[in-house]
Parts: sequence; C-alpha cells; structure tokens
Amino acid sequence: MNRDMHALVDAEHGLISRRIFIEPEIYQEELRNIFARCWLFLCHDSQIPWPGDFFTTWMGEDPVLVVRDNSGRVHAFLNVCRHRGNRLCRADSGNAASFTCAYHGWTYRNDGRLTGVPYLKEAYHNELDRDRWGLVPVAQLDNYKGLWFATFDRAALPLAEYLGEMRWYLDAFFDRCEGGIELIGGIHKWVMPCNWKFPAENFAGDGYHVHWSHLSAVQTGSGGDFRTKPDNEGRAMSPGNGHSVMFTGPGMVADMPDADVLAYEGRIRPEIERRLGPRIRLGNPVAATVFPNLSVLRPTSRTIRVWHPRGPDKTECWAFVYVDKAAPPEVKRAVRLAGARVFGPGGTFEQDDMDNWQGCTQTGRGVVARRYPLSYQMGLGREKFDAERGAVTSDYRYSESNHRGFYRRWAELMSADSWADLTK
Amino acid sequence: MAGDLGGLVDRERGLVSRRIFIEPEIYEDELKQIFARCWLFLCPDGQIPLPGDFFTTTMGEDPVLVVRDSDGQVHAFLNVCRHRGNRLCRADSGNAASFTCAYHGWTYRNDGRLTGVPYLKEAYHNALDRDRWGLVPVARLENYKGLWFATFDPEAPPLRAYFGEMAWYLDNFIDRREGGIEILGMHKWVMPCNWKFPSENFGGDGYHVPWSHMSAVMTSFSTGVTSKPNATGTMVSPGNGHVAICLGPEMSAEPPGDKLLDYDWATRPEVDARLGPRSALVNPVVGTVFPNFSLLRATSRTFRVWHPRGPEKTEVWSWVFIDKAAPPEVKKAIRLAGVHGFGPSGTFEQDDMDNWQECTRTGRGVMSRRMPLNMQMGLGHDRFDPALGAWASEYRYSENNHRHFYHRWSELVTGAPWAELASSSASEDCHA
Repeated sequence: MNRDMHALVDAEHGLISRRIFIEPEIYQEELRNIFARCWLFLCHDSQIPWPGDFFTTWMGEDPVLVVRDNSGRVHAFLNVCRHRGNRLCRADSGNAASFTCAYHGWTYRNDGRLTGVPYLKEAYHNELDRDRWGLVPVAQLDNYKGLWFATFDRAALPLAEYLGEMRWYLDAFFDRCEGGIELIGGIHKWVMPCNWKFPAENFAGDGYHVHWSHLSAVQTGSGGDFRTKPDNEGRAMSPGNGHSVMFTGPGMVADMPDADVLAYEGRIRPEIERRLGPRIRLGNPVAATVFPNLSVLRPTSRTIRVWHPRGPDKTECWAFVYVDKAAPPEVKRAVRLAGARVFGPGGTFEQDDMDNWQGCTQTGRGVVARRYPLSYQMGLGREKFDAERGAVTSDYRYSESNHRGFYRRWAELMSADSWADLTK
Repeated sequence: MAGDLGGLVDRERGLVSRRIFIEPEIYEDELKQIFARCWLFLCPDGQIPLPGDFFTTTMGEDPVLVVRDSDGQVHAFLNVCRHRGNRLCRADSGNAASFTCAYHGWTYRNDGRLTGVPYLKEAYHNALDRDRWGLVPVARLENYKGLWFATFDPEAPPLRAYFGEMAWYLDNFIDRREGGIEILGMHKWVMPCNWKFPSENFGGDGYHVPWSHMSAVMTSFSTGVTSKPNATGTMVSPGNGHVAICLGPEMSAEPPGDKLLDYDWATRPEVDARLGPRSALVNPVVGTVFPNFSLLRATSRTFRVWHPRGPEKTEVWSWVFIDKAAPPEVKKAIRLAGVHGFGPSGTFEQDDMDNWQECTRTGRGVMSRRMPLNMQMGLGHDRFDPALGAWASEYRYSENNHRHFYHRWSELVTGAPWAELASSSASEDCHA
C-alpha cells in the first residue's frame, strides 16, 4: 500500500488521484500514518483551567480524554476503559476527580491510575496488577501559546520543530495582544458527508472559491468583501511540514464589516506590530491549516476548527469561536454574532462550502469518475521560497501551491515507515 | 477479487451464493466489471428534444450528464468538474448553453468543452490547456427507437449486437404503434435492497404474483393475469443476460377496465403487423435488459432503472409510458394505473420492496450467508426455441431466466472479455 502513494499524488504536475478521497483502504492507512503520527490539536488551555477539569476529543478516530489532574498537571489519555474497551468518559467536558466506566465500574483517577476494580478481591483474587492497567497516555503532549497538542508517536519531532516557521503565523492569529486569546461560548459540532482533506485544503489555500462559491453570501454584507477586491500583494504560503497560510496584502482589511471590530483593529495595530515584528507589515494571515486537520480563519468570523475524520466520506467538524482575551465586550459580542451568522452548521458561508465538499467527495464513488485525476495546477512552478516570509510563496493571490505542499507532505507521511525516514 | 467470484453462481445446479447480494468487495467489482462495461439506459429522447436540453442520471454510481448541444448533437459526459471533482450540474433536467461548477466557477459549454476558468490569465498564467480538461465523455452513446444508452467501455459490442434477439422483445413495449411511446411521468426513490433482486424479479418472476400480490390483485387494480389457473406463457432468455416474461398470445395483461382492455384488443392487428409472426406465439409483458433496465406492461406501463447505491441500497427511477398514438382517455387510465399499482406508494410496489429488503438484509447474517439461494425451478425443463430466438421454459413459471441472468453476471464480474462473451450469447450451443 505504502509504495503507491507517490503515484497517487503527483505534486510536480499538479495531479492528484481521486482514490485518496474515497477508498476505505487508503483511509485506514491515513489513520495509521497521518493521525497516529502527527501532532494533533486537542483544546485550548482556557477550557481546562482548574484541577480536575477535563475535555474529551478525538485524535483521528481514537477517543481522547484531556484532563488536568488534582496536582494541576495536564494529561491526555485514550478515553477507553482497559477492561472491555468501552468509551470511558461520555461528557464533552466537566470537572472530575475520577472516571468510572459505565459497563463494569472500573475507576481511574484523573491522573490515569486504575484505582477501582469491583470484586478485585473476590473475583480477581487480588491478582490483577492495577499499575499495568491504567489509562493509556499519548506519546507526547505539549502546549504552544495556550493550544494543547499531542501525538501518539514517540519518535515524532518535538512540537516546536513540527510547527517550525508556522509558529509565527499562529502568533499572528493567537498572540496579537497581551493575554492571547479566549474561546467564546461552546463548540459547534456537526458531521459533513465529505472527506476530511477537502476542508483542510480549502482553509489551507483556496482563496479562489470565495468570489464564486460565496458570492451570494458576500452580497448579504455579512462577510466583508475583501476577497473579491483586487489584492496584488495577496499570497499563498507554505512554511513547511505541510502547513499552509493564506495571506492578504497589507492594504486589505481582513476583518468582518463591523464598526466596533474595525475601530478596535485600528487601535491595537501598534501593539500587533510590536509583538509580531516587521513581517506583519507585508500583509495579514487570514486563513491557515496546521497539518493535518487544524484550521484557523480570521476574516468573516474568527474560528478554529478541527476536521475529525469519520470514514473516507465523513468528517466531523468542531468549530470554536475565538477572540483576543483583552478585547472589549462589544468586540467579543460582534465576533460571537459573526461566528453564528457566517460559519457553523447554520452559517451562510459554511453551507456553501459543505455542499461543494460533499459533491467533490461523493462523485468519487463512481468507478469511472475515480479514474480521472483532479487538477491542482494553478500557478504550477511559480511558487518559490521567500526568505522574508519564511515560506514557499506563490506569485499571485490565487494559487494551488499550498495544496501541492499539503498533498506532498501527505504522500511523504503515507509512504514513510517512520519519522526517521521522513527527516532523512 | 475477480478470481474468487467464479464459484458463486452455479447455473448447472441452480444455486446462487448470498454473498453477491451483500458483500462490499463484490459490489465494488460489480461497479467495475458490470456497470462500467455494459450498455446502460440513460433517458428517453423525449426528455431532451431541443438544443440545450439536458438530463442528469447515473451509470452505476458515476454521475452522468446527457445533453443535446447547441448544434443538436447529443452527448453523455461524467457529470463531474475536472478541477476538484465536484458534481457539476445539480438539476434533474433543464435547458442550458453551459454548465458552471458551484465551487470555483469552471464553466463547460454544452458540448463538453471547458470554456471558462476564472483567473485563467492571472492565477494560471494561461498555462492550463483547456482542451485537455473538458468534460469526460462516455466511451459510446447510441439510440434505440428513442431510448438513449451508453457504455464506459470502448470494447463493448455495438448496442444492437448487445441487445441481440432482445431487440424484438423490447419492441413489444416501445414500438407497438406508429410514433413509438411517450412519457407520462417519473418517480425516484431509494429502496433498502440489492439491485439484483428487482432486476431478476422483472426478468423472470411470475411465480410471486399470485402470492405476494394477492391482496393487491383483490383490490382489482390488476387482472392478476399471471395468477389465473388457465394462464399460459413462457420465460424467455434471448441471450446476453437479457430476460423476459411472456404470456400466451391469447391473453391480455392490461389492468381491468374496459378502456384499457378494449384498447389492447383493438390495437392488436396493428401491433401484430409491426412485430411480425412471432407475435402469434407469445405476448411479452415484463422484461429486464441486462443489467438494470426493466420494463413492465402489466398492471401499468412502466420502465425503470435500478441504480445501484451500495450493496444493500437501490435507487429506482420509474417512468410511466404509453403509445404516443393512444387516445387521451387511455393515456389518463394508464397514468392512474401507474400511480395505483407502482411507484413508491403503489400497492404492488410495496409488496415487492418489503420482500426485496428482507432478501437482502438477512444476508448480513454470516450464517444465513452460508446457505445458497435456490434457483432450481424448472431446472432442465427449458430449451432453445428458434421461433422465439430464445431459451424458453416449458411451463409459465420457471427460474430459467434467473439462471441465465446470473450466469451472465458471473461471466462479466469475473472479467471475461467481450470477445469471449459474444460466443456464449443465445444460441443452441449455450445450453445450461
């Protein structure tokens, strides 16, 4: 299986096989070689501030429990009871000193230790070694500016290296003001009938669809119109390791058309420039994907989302709305409302996208349609490394250079036997 | 996979494995070896009469756009944008000079040429060769008496050769009178069954009528013609997996009611004159053109495509048709009979759907799946009848047709090349 992957992704010619978006065998390989190896986003620090706070999520299709133990240390475990494999904690989030399985009552302390086994003496004759049957931790867990990430692969690069130059771009979303960001309200969670890579590549580098797919939504006035205006300085950028960013020119207003938000952005501009340095004068990062499945968006709404894979033609989207922690209440309110209007299951922009991603995925069920590769040729050969930006950069605001970088990395990971292979 | 499928259909002993109705791997092979190779029905000519008219359908699970271009030439393309693979045209039918993808706006003229790529100059630097990224056409497209068919396989025999002797049986439905047929309406719905159960049912199952449909027959929407004790008829297999159910020539399959019965008898001389002497031997009333196109002339007049949608899901597209030359009161009566008897709420249709669903679903059980199905009725009691141009059963109920249908299925799904298949079509040398 591994050997085939480079044949399916021909980044040199901008041709990508449709098989990678529909075939169950390739999907299984993705779970192993991408999702069980890469650093994946779990949650934001502000979701688990206190001892005992927990948050349940997924890494690929593996259920994961993120929890701050009684001594204040954060852990991430497979959210799976070791006895019969039941999903252990069923709540989305909360606070608990321990977790008890619904099936037979095995109980784990919030540091992962197995502490309770009903009838340990009578039925197990005290022969079960509880130290060996605690919750299974992830291989590595780390935090970057409030964002918790984990990987199941102990050989994976440290998080800082995995993110590499992408760290600066994440700062441009999450570290613009003292105090960073906070999340607003709950999380929207819903299932879309599409392959997870279509949304991931869309947020990574698809400025091209906005003026067409979202034209009607733009015309309602809720989204801002910057993408449909000429922007000669706009670029698609790949800072490495499959991560991607879309960037507008410095003259473009990349925010929702709300007077409070626009005034706020004007006020904090000096602080942003001071914190982020001279690169921010080249333009504004507006959308991005951290490989493989964490995306961020700033204009129209401010949203973080994880594209959880749920089979080759299903994706569960988790969308968080975020805002600068230091922003005044009227800005937080405006960001919250924009998030509800534009993105999320009822958002005008989101619905445009979901319909297209569904069509792109489902036509691949046809065995004949599947024989024709997709075209990722826009701006082929015109991207080059730009030292000032620290990224492979397109020469025009619309390009599929980020897509090519994303899928090249995908093919490398799918074909490599280990991280050691990759970094050779 | 293909190599493992040979033993699943045992025509000699009338045994068919249940695996072929439920297993995803076998289904994937069917998509490749049957639906991407056979001639499949697209739509009647009457749905795309004018330049720019289009109709969207599927061949297997591949979405297909049938369109008459501005010069009047008909094409069939994969209904898939070449850029990101989105489904291109979302309408069921209509009229358009061009088709624009909803995602990024790539635009194709109605002859398939890619004519519009937003930002071609700025973002593609004019480096995209639009001539190479037009819509993908089917391998071959042909019309038989107003019905459009296509195949994805350039090696497939011409349509007329693919039909073979089945063409005469098809004429019994669509070419009875001058002017052929016209369409009175169309229903689409999804059933939780494997596509082969409805296909085989229309292909040769007269046997279920007196039992499955007894209560529906008693409502008197139908004469229940095949359930009458004195009924005559035969099951015929004219080759290439095509199959038909015939009554004796002295019988009518029309729904009861003077209008339709009178019409049937009044038009018989014209029908006999058009169809020739074989009409005096049999009256074909139901049939399946391999693999998934069925026609029915009893109870109502309907033809339908059984679109596969996974091993245990079938999307039915059902048309009601009538002779174009029929008078208005007959057209009305046939339309009403179509609604009463067939379609998602039809009394007959519901009987069938329930049975097909359970025939499919019990196959999920691994024990059930080990027990082969019995297709032995009339085994050894069928012979090639030169006058009918088909293998024909001795008695009016037989599973002769089932055995021919599944034998063809087995040949195709194991990857037999067309050249080999041609020699095993209907003739005396293909005895079971």
